[in-house]
Amino acid sequence: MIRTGFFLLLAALAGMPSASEAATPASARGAVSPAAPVQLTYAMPAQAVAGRRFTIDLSIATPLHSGKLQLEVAKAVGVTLADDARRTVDLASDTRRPLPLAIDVLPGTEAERYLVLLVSVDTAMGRMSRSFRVSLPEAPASGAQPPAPDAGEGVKILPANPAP
Amino acid sequence: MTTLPWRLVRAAGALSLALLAGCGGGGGGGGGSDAPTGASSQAAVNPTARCPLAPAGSGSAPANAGQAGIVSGRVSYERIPFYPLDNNLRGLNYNGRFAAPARGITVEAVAPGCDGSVVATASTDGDGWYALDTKNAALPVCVRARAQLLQTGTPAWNISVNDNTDANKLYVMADNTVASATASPSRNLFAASGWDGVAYTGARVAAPFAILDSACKAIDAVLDAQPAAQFGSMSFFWSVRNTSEAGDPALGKIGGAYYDPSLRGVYLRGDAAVNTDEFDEMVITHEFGHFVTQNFSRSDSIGGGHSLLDITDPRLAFDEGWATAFAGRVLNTSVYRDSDEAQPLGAPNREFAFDILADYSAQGVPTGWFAEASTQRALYNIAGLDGLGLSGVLHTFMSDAYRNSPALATIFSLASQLKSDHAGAAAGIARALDQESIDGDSVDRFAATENHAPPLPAMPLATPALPLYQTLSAGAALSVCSSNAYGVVNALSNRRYLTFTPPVSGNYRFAVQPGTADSVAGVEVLNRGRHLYFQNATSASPALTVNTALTANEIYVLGISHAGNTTDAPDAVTGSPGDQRCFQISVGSGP
Repeated sequence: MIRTGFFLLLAALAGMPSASEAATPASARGAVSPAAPVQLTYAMPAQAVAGRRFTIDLSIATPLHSGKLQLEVAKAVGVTLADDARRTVDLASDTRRPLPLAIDVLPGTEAERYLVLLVSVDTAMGRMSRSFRVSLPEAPASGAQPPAPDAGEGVKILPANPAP
Repeated sequence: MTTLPWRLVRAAGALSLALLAGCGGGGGGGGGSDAPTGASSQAAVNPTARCPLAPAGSGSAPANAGQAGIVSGRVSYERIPFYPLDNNLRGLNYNGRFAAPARGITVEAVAPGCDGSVVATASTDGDGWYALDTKNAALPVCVRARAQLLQTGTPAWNISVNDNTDANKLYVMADNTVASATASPSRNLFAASGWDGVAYTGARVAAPFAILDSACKAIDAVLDAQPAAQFGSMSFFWSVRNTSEAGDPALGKIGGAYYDPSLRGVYLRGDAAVNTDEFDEMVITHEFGHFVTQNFSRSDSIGGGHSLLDITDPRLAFDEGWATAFAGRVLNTSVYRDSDEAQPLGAPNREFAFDILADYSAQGVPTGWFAEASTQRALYNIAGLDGLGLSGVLHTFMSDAYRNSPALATIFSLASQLKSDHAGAAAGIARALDQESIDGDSVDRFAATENHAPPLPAMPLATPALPLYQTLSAGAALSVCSSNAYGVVNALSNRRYLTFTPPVSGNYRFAVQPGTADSVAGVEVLNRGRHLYFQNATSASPALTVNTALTANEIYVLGISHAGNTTDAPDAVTGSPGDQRCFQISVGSGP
């Protein structure tokens, strides 16, 4: 569900034909690790021009029908938020599923621009949270270090340190 | 889906097949996989072949260290532990990081220079020590440690950590000092975590070796049950770019940790701003448990997202519960912990955690054969029974009798086989099942005696989940309804299961006709874990006809669904919660 749902959304954004799951037999979706019962997808314009405000439309799925759902921005890199972006939803009174939420953002000029969102829900097992990364278009996927030198054998060389 | 560069892993697969050649390796993997699997029944078993978890001898340098031509040393990595469970703080304790031995990994000497060819290879012992015999005391070499666990012969494994965001390259830690047996004959290599006390600023060299250490423990657990185990090749895909955003894995957008059976690969996160998995032993071992299932046993799971609060298809509930119970027993803990680095400014570290043994049924968490929380607890408890243990459970889990069961891979099929194989533990197995509201006393692989159904949602037309299987007979018709009452994609009752036993061998035709408006048929036909047929119809042509040759007296399982409940196909309508889509199924002679 995670991979499929996300992929379809991203495929649609990119103008690609939708992936067909019709030929996907059981077990081919991948076995994902246990997580809090929330799922987040998002949509935004294909371009994120620096200094031009736009809205990220969030879609949060959860099987829960009671308790509170809270959305927080744990980190904003290269992006200014229009407000603190904290949203709290009473799942008993708001029966829309998935839940539509929106965040207004002002992209900066940085090469790396992304948000880390934290979604928390009240469950029978207590409060559970799950984090999601939302990368702005045309931004690098991460501020990761550049690839290490390639030894030319299909290996990625990392430096050894002196023993502690 | 995206096609990944695959030259390295493909090469590893070729190696694996070469290792298997002539050993008469075991039967096919489950879930339709044709992956190499199982135990060798002919090759001589090396009883001492283990992934080394304990120091050899005195835990000091190898005995041949210092001899002519020998370059030796110790490989270690920096592990960042979780805070202890009795601490108020959660997540990873960066201040508690320590050096741990890199165990069972492949070390090689290359010459001339550090980009030369391999002249000697060795594996580290249980304390990280290695000794490379370069055959030439004066030969200048560079020492490097591959992020790879490699064992040839019987048993055998080839487990590696690769960068999915960089052409699937294998991680290798290299010493930049040219050494020889006469000059710098002792070379210790240390993989730093990259944490500088405040943040990750250095290369994250420790991560691949931390991941392999968890795999090493899981390998040995399997060897306890099957000393001749042939793991073949599998890969962990880890990158500092792998993050909690789905999309193209080659860009690091993996969504979360998951096992991809088509690649025999586990994807793990490394994004320090969101979530890292390299020190999350339960996450790593849970996903490795899925690999064990595919390679040595059988998975019929649908896959997809899931949580302990869901009421799911029993195939998924069992598969996920098994993986968590396996991880818990391998790591000797009942607490699942997944560190999460995302926290609002000033907030403490976080983690997603639960205790396998905790019972939340009084708070409304689902309990039963359709609930992951129950299957993992039952299997964890069963694997803890005296005289059985994880080894005994694995022995049955990997057996032909279980893998070739005509019933779907669910808690029912494994539990009934366990009781049959381990009569002395039967009472304990029954008790563990009964505690989860699963009929343990007379458990049957087709759930024939099961009478614990989940509560019906307060929705119109919600259909009972039992019986789990209905019997289809030649010349007769059955009506079944696919329900979305518990959710979609992999929820309970999205698919309804039928069994059919042909009276004679021959060609048969299954006809699946919509019985309600907007119903779009989806059909699976399975035989002992292998898909004979899988198809979803379209709204323009919502019926399906399946023609297939069947063998007399063999039990076939049909999964009937409404396509809108089981896929994301935009063509089929899911409907409102509680809607059900019904179908008439008949079987007769085929062309």
